[in-house]
Amino acid sequence: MGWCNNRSRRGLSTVVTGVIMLSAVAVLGTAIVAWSNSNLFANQQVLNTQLATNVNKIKESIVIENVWFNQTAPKSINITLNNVGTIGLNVTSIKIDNETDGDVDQTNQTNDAVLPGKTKSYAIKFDWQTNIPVKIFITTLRDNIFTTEDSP
Amino acid sequence: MRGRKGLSSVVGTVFSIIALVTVVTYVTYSMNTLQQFNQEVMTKNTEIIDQAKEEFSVVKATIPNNKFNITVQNTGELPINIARIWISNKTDPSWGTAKYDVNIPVSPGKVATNIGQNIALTALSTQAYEIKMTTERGNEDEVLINSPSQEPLYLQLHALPEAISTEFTTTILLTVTNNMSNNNMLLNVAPDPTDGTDSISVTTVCATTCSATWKSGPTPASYPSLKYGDTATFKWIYEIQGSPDDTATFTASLENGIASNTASAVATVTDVISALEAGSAITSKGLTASTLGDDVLLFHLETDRTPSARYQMYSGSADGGSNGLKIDLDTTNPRFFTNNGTDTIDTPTGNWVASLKVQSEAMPPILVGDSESMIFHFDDGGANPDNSQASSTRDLEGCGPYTMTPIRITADADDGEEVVSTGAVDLTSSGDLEMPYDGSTLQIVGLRFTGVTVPQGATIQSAFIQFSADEVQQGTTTVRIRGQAADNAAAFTTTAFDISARADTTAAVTWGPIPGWDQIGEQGPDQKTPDIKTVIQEIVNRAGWVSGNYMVITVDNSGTASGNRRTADIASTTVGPQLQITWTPQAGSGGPPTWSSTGGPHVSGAFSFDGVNDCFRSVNNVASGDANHIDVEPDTTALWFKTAAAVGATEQHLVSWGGDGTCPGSCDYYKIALEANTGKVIFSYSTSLGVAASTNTCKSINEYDNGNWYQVVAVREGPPGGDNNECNLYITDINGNDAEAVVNQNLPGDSTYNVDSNGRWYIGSNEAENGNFFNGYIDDVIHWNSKALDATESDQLSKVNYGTQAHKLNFYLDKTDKNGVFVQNLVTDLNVAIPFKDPRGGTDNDDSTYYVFNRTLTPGAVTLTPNQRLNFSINWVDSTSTWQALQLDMKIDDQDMTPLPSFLQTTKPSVPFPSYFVYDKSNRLSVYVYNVGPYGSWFVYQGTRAVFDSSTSGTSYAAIICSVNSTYSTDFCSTSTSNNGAWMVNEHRDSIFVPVNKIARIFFWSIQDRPDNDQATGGTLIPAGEYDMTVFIDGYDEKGQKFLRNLSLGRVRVQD
Repeated sequence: MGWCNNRSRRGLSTVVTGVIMLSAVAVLGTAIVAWSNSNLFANQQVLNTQLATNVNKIKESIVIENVWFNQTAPKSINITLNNVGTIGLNVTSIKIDNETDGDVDQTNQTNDAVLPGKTKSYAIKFDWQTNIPVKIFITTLRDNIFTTEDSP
Repeated sequence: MRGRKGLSSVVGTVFSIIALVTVVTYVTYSMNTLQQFNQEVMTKNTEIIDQAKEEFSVVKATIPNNKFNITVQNTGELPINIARIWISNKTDPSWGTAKYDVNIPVSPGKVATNIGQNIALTALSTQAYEIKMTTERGNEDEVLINSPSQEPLYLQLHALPEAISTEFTTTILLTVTNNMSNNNMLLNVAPDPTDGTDSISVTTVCATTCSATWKSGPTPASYPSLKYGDTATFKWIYEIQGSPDDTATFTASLENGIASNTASAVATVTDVISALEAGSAITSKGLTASTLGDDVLLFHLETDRTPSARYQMYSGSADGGSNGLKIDLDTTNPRFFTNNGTDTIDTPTGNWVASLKVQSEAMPPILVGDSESMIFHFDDGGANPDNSQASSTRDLEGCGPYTMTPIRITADADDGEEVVSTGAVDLTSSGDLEMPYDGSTLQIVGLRFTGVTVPQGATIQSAFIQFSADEVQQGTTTVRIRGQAADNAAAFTTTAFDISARADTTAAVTWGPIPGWDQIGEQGPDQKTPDIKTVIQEIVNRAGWVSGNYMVITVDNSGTASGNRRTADIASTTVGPQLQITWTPQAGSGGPPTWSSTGGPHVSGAFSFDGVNDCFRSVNNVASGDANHIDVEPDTTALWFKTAAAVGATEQHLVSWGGDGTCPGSCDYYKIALEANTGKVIFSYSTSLGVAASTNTCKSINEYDNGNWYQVVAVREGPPGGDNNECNLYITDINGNDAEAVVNQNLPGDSTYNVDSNGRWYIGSNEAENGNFFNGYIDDVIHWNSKALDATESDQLSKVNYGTQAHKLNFYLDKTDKNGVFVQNLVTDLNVAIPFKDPRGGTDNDDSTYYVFNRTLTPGAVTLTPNQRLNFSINWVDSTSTWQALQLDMKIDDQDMTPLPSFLQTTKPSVPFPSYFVYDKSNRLSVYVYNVGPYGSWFVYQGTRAVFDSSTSGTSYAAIICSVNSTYSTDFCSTSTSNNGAWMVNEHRDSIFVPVNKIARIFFWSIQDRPDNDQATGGTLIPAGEYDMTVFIDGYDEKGQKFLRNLSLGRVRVQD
């Protein structure tokens, strides 16, 4: 034998190896990038949604503007709320508690939309007593709870 | 080998780049997300901060023209937008809450006005409202308009000062603090206008009279806004008048406030002298111990120191002697003046009273002094009317049972005993009367009574014989009593059987068993027969019986056993048998008419006659020459009458006299009557037993039985002994109009002019008291026995009102200056009717005939400034064509008149009216003071003085106290031991104790310009003249509180 020309056989394996490695890197890299992008994209939706929800929740603001105790039988409490926030909201429930006898009258209002700057009034049947304060809880769809206390 | 190393670097780099890109992507996204979130959070925070920064307040809210006018101020740094107004009515809770969108922007520091003017709501200023204003950011401010009604506020009311002297002012302060738990602002806070008339109620408690007079307030009228914690103050000013311890309670509340949310304060009147509050009040009694109150202004007869010499009027006891002064009000218009003084005198609103002691004249002016014989006004309702001319012999009594004057057998011949068996009659020898046995001798006793004055046909009500016991007897005795049936029993004779032969009455009365007679001389019930009226009745019923005839009564046996008897005394002026008879003219009891206090024609007392048997009669038979006799002309009889029904078939007598002959009809008579069946008035008299030729009659043309009042004046005129015996008849109606006059009916042809009316005279029946009874009212009967009223006199008499309007006066109460010049009229009271009161013949100085007439005057609150006077005037009101005034006298200043003579009573003056006191220098000066209380007091030397301020010169004089209640009349200021130990007051000794409700008399040393207790070392004595006198009382009371009292006695005259 001889030695034949071994330098030419060593050059081809390097190229092949290089190609194989580049290919592998490329494939892996692409795969990783693709995975990370898709992962990011998927999480981004969730994050965006969560952000929006929380932001909207922050944007909600209700002022219970007027409470009037109607003494005409059957007794009731007239509640007027004002959406002073910058986003529309839905009132889902109004709860009244006089914190004395545990008497709670709750009215579920579904999808009672109140636009920003608008008011909404409710007449809630409730046997209120003079000089006994009542707490009023207003819950929105976004799970904000706005409260006030008043006394007839 | 170098090739493989280069490739790995590339690979590594690629991986690094990939990782880096991935991380960067995540980080970038996260940061973006976070930033976005932070932005939202910051936005929210900004909103919250802005909401918190918002500040605004309602600064004013009114309700003009029933629309809200609200002013809002932006007190923050951010612009605001008033989005809505919420209004709820606190007065009317059913009203609910109303919402109004307004959208009013307000820049920082700016105000928005007229909010509410354009909303569709009618507001009432009298109601309370809660107003809430909300902004776009949700802030709100709430205020209450006119409404402290949600909860009580802190109120305080103060009277400053609380204790004040009368006529001083006090300031009432109401403080209102907004302490509402809801921190709301109050708008339009004001005192409640329904409290009293000035938004505050006042209640006074007075011992006599007091007042709280509004001067100003409330100031301010309202507060526009009252924030939580702020206080508003309202002020009133009131002037208080009254006596010490009178109080005025003020109570205030808020408009639309809670009803129970009030505050009160009390102001009390006290006498505060020298800034010290004294416990006792000393009042002046002047120079005399007058017991009159300061409000009683007595009329005095003195005329000095008054304008135009008119009468004085002041609070001083009467000093005009025991008769005072009589003022003829019909000829004199008296005026009374108070003195002018140096003080302002205020009298509060209330009733004044003019109290006059007056005496009515009995007759109209034209008839005064014409000596009327009888007057009967029937004002006092007595059953037996007295003649007003004070002669009891002319009084009347009601018709009814007569009691005959008992007839006692006094002549021996008028009693006798007849022996039954033999008929022997003993008239004189027997010294007694044995009924029926004289021992064993049976006998009949005869009793003859002379002059039995019982009219024929009279109804015997009762009859008795009263015996006197001549012996003591017990035996059983029964007798029979009968009468002799004879018109006029003859005298007894001694002819046998004279007594028993006489015809007996059918009627008989048994007497027995007669009670034992236990005592000689006894004339009691045991010696009195039973009622023998049946026996007497049978006798007087006899057609021939005539009053005054003789009557025989017999007594014989009725089963008495022999020997038994009762023995009576025989004829004697003291113990003889006595016949007693009571009778009436006819069946029935008769009796007086019925009195009515207002039944008269002028609402005076009068009598009603029933037309059956009511009448009056004179108490005695009319005696010739007596003033109620008729006798010869002239005569006049006047009366008022009113029928109850039309006159029937029997003539009705109004008045009638009967006399000689048999009445009615055949006797001398004099009568005024109403004709049967017609009711025409008849005046008729007969001078000769009713013979036609001697009878004269005047008869009216008209009929007067129609139930109306008429006055009749019947006149029998003509000179005595003359032949023109005429009758006149004047009839007048209630209005004073002449109804008719019948004049000059001549007596036909009889020369006998004397009406012998010697029986009784009657009102309401005939002269026999057995018929012609009047049915109706009779009043004001007047008779003149010796006068014929002419037409003019009759006319004047007919127009007199003897009831409620006998006289009329005009009263004037004026304010004048010190010279009597008119300043202001306080009261004008015209045509005041004064009632008649029968003077009953009383003289001018007969206090019992004066009566009190009170007239209430209402001058309102009166203020007399210094040198002004009160003037009270009385003017006479003259007669008219239909009304004749009677004269009226008024008595003033009569010391003996009780309780007081005439005076004017005012409401309680703030200071006493000045007096007209006179001080005689020759006497020790003394002043009476009265301790009103509530504590006993002592007076001290140091400050007790009497000061005389000259009204003309510049010099004043004074005197130092020397003693109190001294009784050492030699010299009340004497320092002798007789006086010194008891009464003296000096720098070492105070006065005696003066208890409450007691009067003390303070004596003074000489009055000098340099006062001294020794005249020799003092100054000049006070000269005579006019001075304003003031007494200063320095002392202390039981509580140790000092007082210095000044008592103004007004203008005093000092004389030498």
